Amino acid sequence: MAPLTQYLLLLGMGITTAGLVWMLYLIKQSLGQTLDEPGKDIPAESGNLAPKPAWLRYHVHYYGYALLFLAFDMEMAYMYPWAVVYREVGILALLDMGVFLMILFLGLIYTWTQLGLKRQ
Amino acid sequence: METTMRYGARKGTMNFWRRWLAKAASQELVIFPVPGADLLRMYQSEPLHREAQLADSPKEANVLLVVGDLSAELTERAATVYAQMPRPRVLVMAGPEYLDPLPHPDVHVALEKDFLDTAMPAARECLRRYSWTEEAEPYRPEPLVSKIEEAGQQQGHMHGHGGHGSHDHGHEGHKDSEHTGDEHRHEEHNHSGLQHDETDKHKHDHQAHQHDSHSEHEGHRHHDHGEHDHGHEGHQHKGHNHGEEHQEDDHSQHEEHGHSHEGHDHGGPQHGDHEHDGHDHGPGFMSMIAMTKDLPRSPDGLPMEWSDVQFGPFHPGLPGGLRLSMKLDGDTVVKAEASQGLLGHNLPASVLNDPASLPEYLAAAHPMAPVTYRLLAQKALVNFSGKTPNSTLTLSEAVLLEKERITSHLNWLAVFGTALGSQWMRDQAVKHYHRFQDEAGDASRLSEFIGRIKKMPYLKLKLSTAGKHRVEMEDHNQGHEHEAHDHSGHGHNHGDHAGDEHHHAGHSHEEHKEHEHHEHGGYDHSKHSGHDHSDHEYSGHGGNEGHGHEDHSHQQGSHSGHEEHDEHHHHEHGGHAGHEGHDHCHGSGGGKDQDSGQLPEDMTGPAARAAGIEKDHRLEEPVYQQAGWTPVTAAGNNAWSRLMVRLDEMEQSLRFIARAGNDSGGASSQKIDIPSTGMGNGIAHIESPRGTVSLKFHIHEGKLAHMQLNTPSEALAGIIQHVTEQHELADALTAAASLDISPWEIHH
Repeated sequence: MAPLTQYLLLLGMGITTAGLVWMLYLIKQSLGQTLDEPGKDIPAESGNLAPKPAWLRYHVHYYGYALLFLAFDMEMAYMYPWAVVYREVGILALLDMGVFLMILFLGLIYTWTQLGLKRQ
Repeated sequence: METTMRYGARKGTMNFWRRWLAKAASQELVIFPVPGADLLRMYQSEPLHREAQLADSPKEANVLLVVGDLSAELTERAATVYAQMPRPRVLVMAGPEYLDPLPHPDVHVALEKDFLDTAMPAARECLRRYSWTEEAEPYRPEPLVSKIEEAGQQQGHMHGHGGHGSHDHGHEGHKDSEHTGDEHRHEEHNHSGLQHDETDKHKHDHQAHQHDSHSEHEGHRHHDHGEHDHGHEGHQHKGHNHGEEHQEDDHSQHEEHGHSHEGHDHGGPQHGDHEHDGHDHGPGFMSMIAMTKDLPRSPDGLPMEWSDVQFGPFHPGLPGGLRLSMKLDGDTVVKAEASQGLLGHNLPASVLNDPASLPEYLAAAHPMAPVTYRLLAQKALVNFSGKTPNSTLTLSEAVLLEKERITSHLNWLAVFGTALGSQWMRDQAVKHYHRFQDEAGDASRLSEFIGRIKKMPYLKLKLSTAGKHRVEMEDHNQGHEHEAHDHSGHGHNHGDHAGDEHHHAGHSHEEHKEHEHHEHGGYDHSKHSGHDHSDHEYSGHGGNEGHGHEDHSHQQGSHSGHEEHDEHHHHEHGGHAGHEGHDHCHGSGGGKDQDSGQLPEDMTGPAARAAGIEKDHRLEEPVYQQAGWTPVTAAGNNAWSRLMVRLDEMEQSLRFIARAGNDSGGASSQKIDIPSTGMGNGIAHIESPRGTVSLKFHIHEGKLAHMQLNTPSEALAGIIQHVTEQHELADALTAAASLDISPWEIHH
């Protein structure tokens, strides 16, 4: 694909995105003026006014969830570039990724055996 | 219709586009029922179809539907919900014409059966015609505005009270002018004795701040003073977001602002820790030990901050009107209690002057079980007027009660299904509920539904851990082998239990005050149906404050209601070799014993029977005795056993009704004449779907002089703490829902 075509595509995407945003803004405008009401600023809590923000220290046992999230989040991040070169590299890429996933999967199994996936 | 939807419409004029949008919005009503969907169902003949659906939260709703009269407290909460609903929104009231601080309703209908048939088209019309109007005004209800703004400020401040450990009140250049509106009420802080000379350059290194409970601070909460250094010129509030109004936060006049830091405990000794020499924070600076020194401890000893959350009164997974206040340690419940009296009523003068109107009054005051309460009052009046020692039920009355039991359990099942997140269970329960309410219920289809619930994968595993007495579980591990035995309504089959499989709440004999050992040679547990309750005397107990168990002499073995007695009977049963040494679950009940995992003595109904306690007033009724009726019990005392008991009770009621045949009777409408002179007492007990209700009153010269109503929900609300403590939040809510508490029955 010629560079110009690529830039045109990019421009088209930009215009479409801007158009979508503009449309949303127009729809919002068409719904009329919003009235400022104090009730809308408070989180819904079954009719109660939330007495305070949930801005608290977490128990350390949640670190397991954080680690697991991090592991699998990173896995996804590595898979994007891998997907780009997958066709070129072929079966080797599949094996490499298999090893990578297996290591992560072993981590998951280990966490499981340590009751890390149990809520309490 | 000038004022229609003034507080519900969007501001602006109607045009073609808006008219189209309004028409589209009116096609599908999303109703937020107040106090709850369970009460709304009582007034419906059939489930809501496509034309309307129920909302779980205000943000999804476009109709706020108030069903019946509400207390002032509940109305205020309904107003909060209304204020949180997006516009356009319609306020529909069924019953009351106006409830302050809610606005005047856009649609008002009488509270009668199928009122939605009238209300929904009217609400639709409102949305279609008035979704936009120039007259729209912001809804700023008094007295809610002040509370909302106060809470809003707290939200805006976002002062994470994360750690006052190295709180540094350097305060150079503090200007208090910005503190308007901020009350600085650290209620748990205690700065008593602390001379806050905050105008000089001293660095108050507040290492000794003792935050007993950060979550309890009210007003000016959540200053994250963890890295907070007021000593620098021009504040450096690292990690400290004072919101827009607090850029120049000034503590110099804290004292004038009611900065009473109760709970900080700045008592003398701790002041030694205060570093007043510039930036030298000493070895304790940012020390986690100092910062977390006085935080509440989790069971594993870690210091944590607890958060306060409220579930209800309008929570879809709880009975409508029931409010649970919880303290959470992460997602673990530390403390939970049900708010009392949100729906309770004071007895009106008209009823006091005319006791004959008591049945209708009680039926209206307890809309979740009107038949039971009407019958209860009628029985008590009969007991009073006829001076009969006992007012027993007739077969037709018993059938009426059993019908109400089925519908009540189905209505509960719909709420419980919502709490579980099972839409299928909820929808099916609602469908069957309406069928049985209209006398068109199909027993075989209901049985099929019950069978499917029992076979739901994972449900037993999930519910068996929910709502279990924690202490009791520990006790179970300490000796008694309380394997789950399923009594599921077919009499006790103890025949082949070699050991003690009785359900005991885990109390040793040391706690008993009196023991009586009954020897029942050759007592056959497999024939439990004929319990000898002949010594029970429920009626005629002059000073019977509870449920009249003082005279009970239970002879039916160790299952039934031992926990409720002040006198403890230790039964030894021939043939039960291993029985003698077992600790029975006797105890005097009441507050102290609850802490050790025992059910309170006034606990009745399915929740008690799901703990193996065979306590049911129907055992006293001849009409049930003649039918060879035995109560359904189960072991476990958890959400699963409560579900099983109720499911089996529904099937049992179906069998009872079927056996009664054609004698299903109509509504009891006996008119009782109250003599205008003389005095006397009236007493009645009835087993409601939630447990035994007792009514006792004194009539003096034709007027009600004293009335005492004991309801099962009061005892149920009392055990919420015990069934939720140290459970994960979802399990705790499931457990609370499994108790089937009627907020109308909590009077205090």
